[in-house]
Amino acid sequence: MDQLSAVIHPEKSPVHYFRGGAGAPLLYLHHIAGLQGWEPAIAELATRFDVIAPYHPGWGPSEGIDEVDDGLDFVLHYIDFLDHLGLEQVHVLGHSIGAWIAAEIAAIRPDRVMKLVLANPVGIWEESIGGEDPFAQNPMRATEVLFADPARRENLVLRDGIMDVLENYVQEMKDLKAAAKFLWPLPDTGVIKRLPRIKAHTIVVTGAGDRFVPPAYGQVWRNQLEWAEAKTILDAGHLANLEQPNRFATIAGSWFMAP
Amino acid sequence: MKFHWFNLMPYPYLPEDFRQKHRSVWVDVDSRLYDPVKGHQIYNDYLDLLEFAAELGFDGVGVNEHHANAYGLMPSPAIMAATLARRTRDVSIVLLGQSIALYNPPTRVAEEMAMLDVISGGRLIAGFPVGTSMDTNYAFGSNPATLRERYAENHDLIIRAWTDPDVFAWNGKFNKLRYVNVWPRPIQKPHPPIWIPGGGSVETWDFCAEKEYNYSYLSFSGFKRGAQLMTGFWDRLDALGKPFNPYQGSFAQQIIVADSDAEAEESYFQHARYFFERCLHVYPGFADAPGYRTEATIRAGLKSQVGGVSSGGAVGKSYRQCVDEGFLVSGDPKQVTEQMEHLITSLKVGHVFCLMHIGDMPRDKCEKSTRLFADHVMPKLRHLWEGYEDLWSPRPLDAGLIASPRPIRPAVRA
Repeated sequence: MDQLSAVIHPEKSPVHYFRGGAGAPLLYLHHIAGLQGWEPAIAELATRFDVIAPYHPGWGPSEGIDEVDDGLDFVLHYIDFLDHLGLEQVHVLGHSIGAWIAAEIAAIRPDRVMKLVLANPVGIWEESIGGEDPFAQNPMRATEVLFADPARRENLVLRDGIMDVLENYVQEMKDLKAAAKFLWPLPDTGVIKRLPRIKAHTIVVTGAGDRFVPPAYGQVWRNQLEWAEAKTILDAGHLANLEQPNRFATIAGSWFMAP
Repeated sequence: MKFHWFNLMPYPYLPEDFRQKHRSVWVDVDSRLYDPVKGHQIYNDYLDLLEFAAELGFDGVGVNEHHANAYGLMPSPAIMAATLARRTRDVSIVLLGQSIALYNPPTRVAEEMAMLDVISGGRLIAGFPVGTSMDTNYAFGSNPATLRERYAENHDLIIRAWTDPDVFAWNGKFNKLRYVNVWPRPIQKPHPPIWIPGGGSVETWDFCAEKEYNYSYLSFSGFKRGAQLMTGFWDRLDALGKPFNPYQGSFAQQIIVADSDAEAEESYFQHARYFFERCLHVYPGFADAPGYRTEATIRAGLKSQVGGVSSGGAVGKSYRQCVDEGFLVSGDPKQVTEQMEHLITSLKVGHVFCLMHIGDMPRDKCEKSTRLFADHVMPKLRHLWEGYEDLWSPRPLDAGLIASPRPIRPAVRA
């Protein structure tokens, strides 16, 4: 695995990303609270794919939140990134806010996407389903709500004391601020009207214990997609990639590998 | 030295077990707790108290803006300021203010403040708060990631709307207007004095210093905890080579004056406890939306105030602790005079917002405390900061030009 950065436009912020593994190219678009580095689920996918996992503009070490204002800006950002890498077509695994971005890419540039996984997808709001507000949490435990078992945050985010609590707080606020720019005050990005444009075969993955995007949203997304299946991961919240990395990677990997 | 009488307008009927049964006084506070019939009496009592303070010689009467908040019943402060503009004659109308980032287009603020300045004969102080996260982000839905950028643009637009005599087009990021043309225009030129209420953002110090605005530090933690922030502002001014003038700083303080310290404790302290325990009961998840505070401010405040959660500082403290720690300035007139002199000279402020109505204090007690302050405390402190010119108070019309509103008369019987 390499930790890399790419300058796509001289006047724009560089894209920071991880790349590792071998196989068909797989673009991994992370959740609202960023990337925990080369996560176990990503490492497992890298045994079968050439995984490219960028930080979105404004998350982690990436600056440039001012360079993206909406979904179209995200699509252009990632199409330019793929062009820079010389990748004509990729599998796309979008998780959380990354699933929204992945869906926009697949809807607007269907020619660039082979197969699609939308995990815990954010971007549709239905009052009858609702969902907890990820931006109205106790700031010192801001990401607990993203776990089916809140106690796992201690291990999976704070790394049992390896992460400095205050630095982690500053980083979480930066990541959630970037997410808020697109999801405040309700996580409705308008993507629902573009979903029927998606041609890529898609699996919608939900977490049975996702309090932010309750699993009932899986069916709402699936109903708008022409070629879609759905799966639910048990004992996983919104950050299913961290809570159940094997299941998460197996479902996504199998989907991409299937004929 | 100038004194302004200020009232947050709390709802005084929150139940005894409010802290236990409800998670927040703000944002998602249960509307079933509000009785509009009682509310009618409360609003009129509170407005009467402001007018009473004006008659006693306070320099200004103040109102502010909160939303979905059971301790601040002024979602539209301009409405309150409008009644005061008609019912007072010579005090400053301290509108602290309208949260300028919330109005779309913000020319609405320029219009309403100009109306108030004209109705009052040039007595308006124009407060431009960012607003709390509870008000702006949660109750009003404004995006915390762009709130400060929007604030800056709206500020620039309002100032230009007041000062450019020509119709102009505004092509901003958040506002696009083909024809900006505010009618009426304010009496005060180039515009009413601008005061910036701040809760401790480091950027606000620089903004006030550069624009030469008044920095008003508002907190309920009292003057001993406020010293660090006021000092930070004076230090920034000094570092930028700007001259010191105490009238460029304001501070809000909760004050009780009684005939004796014992009376303040026995009769008045219960109302401060109501405020600390019920009114400041804010769910921490609403205190600090991601992006509301800049990274610089978070880092500056990390050690002392992790998470920015300020509620409950005085909860469970005794009367003596609250006075010793500065949450309350309280006692008999002599004691209050001493504490106020300490506050004014240690913070070096030329304006104090006297929060004299606290929590569920009934009107008669508040009138007594206010009168004691006006008669026995204010006169002893007026001399402070002699020699400095107050460049941040309104410049009203000459008395000969001030209109006389028709007095309210008894109903005519049929």
